[in-house]
Amino acid sequence: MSAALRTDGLTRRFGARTAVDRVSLRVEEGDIYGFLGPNGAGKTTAIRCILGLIRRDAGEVRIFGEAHPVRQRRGVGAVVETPAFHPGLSGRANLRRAAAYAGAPAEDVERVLALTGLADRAGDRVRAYSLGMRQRLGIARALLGRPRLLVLDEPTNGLDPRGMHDVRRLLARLAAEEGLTVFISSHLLAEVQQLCNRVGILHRGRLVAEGAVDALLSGLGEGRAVEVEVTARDPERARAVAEGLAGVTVLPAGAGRLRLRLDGLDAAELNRALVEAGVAVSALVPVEHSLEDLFLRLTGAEEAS
Amino acid sequence: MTRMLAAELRVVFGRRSGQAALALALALGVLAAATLHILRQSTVDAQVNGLPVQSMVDLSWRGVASWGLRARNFFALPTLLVFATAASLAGEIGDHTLRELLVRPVPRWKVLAVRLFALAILSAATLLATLVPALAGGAAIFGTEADIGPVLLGYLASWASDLGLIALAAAVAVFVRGVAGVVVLVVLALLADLVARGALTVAAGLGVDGAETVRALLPGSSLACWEGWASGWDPAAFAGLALLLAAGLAVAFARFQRMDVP
Ligand SMILES: Nc1ncnc2c1ncn2[C@@H]1O[C@H](COP(=O)(O)OP(=O)(O)OP(=O)(O)O)[C@@H](O)[C@H]1O
Ligand SMILES: [Mg+2]
Repeated sequence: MSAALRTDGLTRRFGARTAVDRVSLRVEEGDIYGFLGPNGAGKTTAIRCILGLIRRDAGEVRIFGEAHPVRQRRGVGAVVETPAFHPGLSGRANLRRAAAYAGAPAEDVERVLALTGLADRAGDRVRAYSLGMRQRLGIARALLGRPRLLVLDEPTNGLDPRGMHDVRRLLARLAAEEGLTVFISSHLLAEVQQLCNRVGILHRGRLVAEGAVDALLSGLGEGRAVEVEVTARDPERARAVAEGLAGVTVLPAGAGRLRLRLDGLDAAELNRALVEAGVAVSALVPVEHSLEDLFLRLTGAEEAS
Repeated sequence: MTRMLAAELRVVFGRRSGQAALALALALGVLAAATLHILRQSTVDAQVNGLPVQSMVDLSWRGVASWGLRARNFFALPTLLVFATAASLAGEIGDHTLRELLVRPVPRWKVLAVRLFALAILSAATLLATLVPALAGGAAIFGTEADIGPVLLGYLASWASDLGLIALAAAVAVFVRGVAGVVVLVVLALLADLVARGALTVAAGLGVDGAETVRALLPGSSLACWEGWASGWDPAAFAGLALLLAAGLAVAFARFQRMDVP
């Protein structure tokens, strides 16, 4: 079975700057793939290359195995950055125009309007839409013609928490019910962690990690070491005691927080040592790694060097 | 393809440039009839070069249509067509609405072809918007005696000349960002052309070989090919127009195929 989307050595330069640098990524059918990276990492540029909007300097793009520059966009719906519309036309008229180019039947317009909850405002001019409504109209437009792959560039940008939740639920539902594959760029890591099963992390144009979210996160807890967060009545004293224990490393953490890496010592032993030293421990919690930790580690690494 | 064209027509005719062009064309047709009506009624014996004004103007059905055409082709309407072309390409590239169509599985040449076709239809519509009231008004005022055939060919030639202008504007609009930039550049190019033709006329007068031929082939001469309905058709003007059309389209299509539409 061929991947839903696959790039090999995708590269795009702007003058001396390489915005996308030999990116080879793979999105399997049915994936909800999070494409992560800090501002300016090259996410939008990569998406534009994938969609054939801008020239690529090197590399290949295959969508459902198809390499033909036009035919490969069959079955693809996309939102790039802020979706653009004719402000003087109604939401519905804008979608009708798009449907003509998508080869989608006119009835499909009503279906996607209903899916995105815009049916009752579809007759208004887009000029009068809020940012969140435009974003939803963009997603509605991308869904015209029942695509098998949806490419979304920061689709929840500008949405309120309710709107974000609705979009996430819609995407999850379409993925589950219609087998839709979703490629979604974002820097909202909590959102991606909730929604995506696989991620790729882009940093300065290069893909620095790719894989299943679980696998990437479990790779963070290096070896046998366990990380715990300690809540004590007197954190300063707790830190002083912990620093004196063998097999304990104090990790950087926010003010008033104490994070420790245990290597060769378990949490119960740590607790006893602290209590014996007169520190009242109120909680001792193993640290769950988040995508944020991974993201900061991978995209912060080069800054330090 | 027909659905895409219908969608594009809605946009082209819905834009301010399209609506202004249609309204102006209609107004000029009505104005031509009204002006000639007033001239006929007028008892003032204004004279130009010792001849009464009335004798200089073809006061007939055909006269109304021909003055309507002259007014329609004088500066403002061609400029609005350049505006419409620029809005359709440079404008939609700039505001990203064109990108939203290019993410679909449609070849770029088709997207461009549909747009140019819609603009050609806009041009034809503006010609009809002048012609219909001019003919109706002219017939009501002067009756339908005069032979209208040659003027109708003038309208047809004007359409051909508009196509050349649209092709020229399209070729500029795939390089220049911003609608205003495209319009300014096309107008400047046509002014430069005017100067060049002036110089070539002088050169021809001085007996320079080929100056006359080159002059006849320049865009400005080609875009005026429609004037031939009255002064005699000039094959060189049409050859030049074909050249302009082919070159403009070749540049526009070649560039559009490759350009970044972010
Ligand atoms: N047309 C362009 N000309 C020159 N440089 C560009 C152009 N487009 C993008 N870049 C550069 O390419 C790099 C990647 O930009 P891109 O917009 O792809 O980042 P991004 O990951 O989408 O960022 P964000 O999260 O802010 O949307 C940036 O350094 C940007 O300045
Ligand atoms: Mg971006």
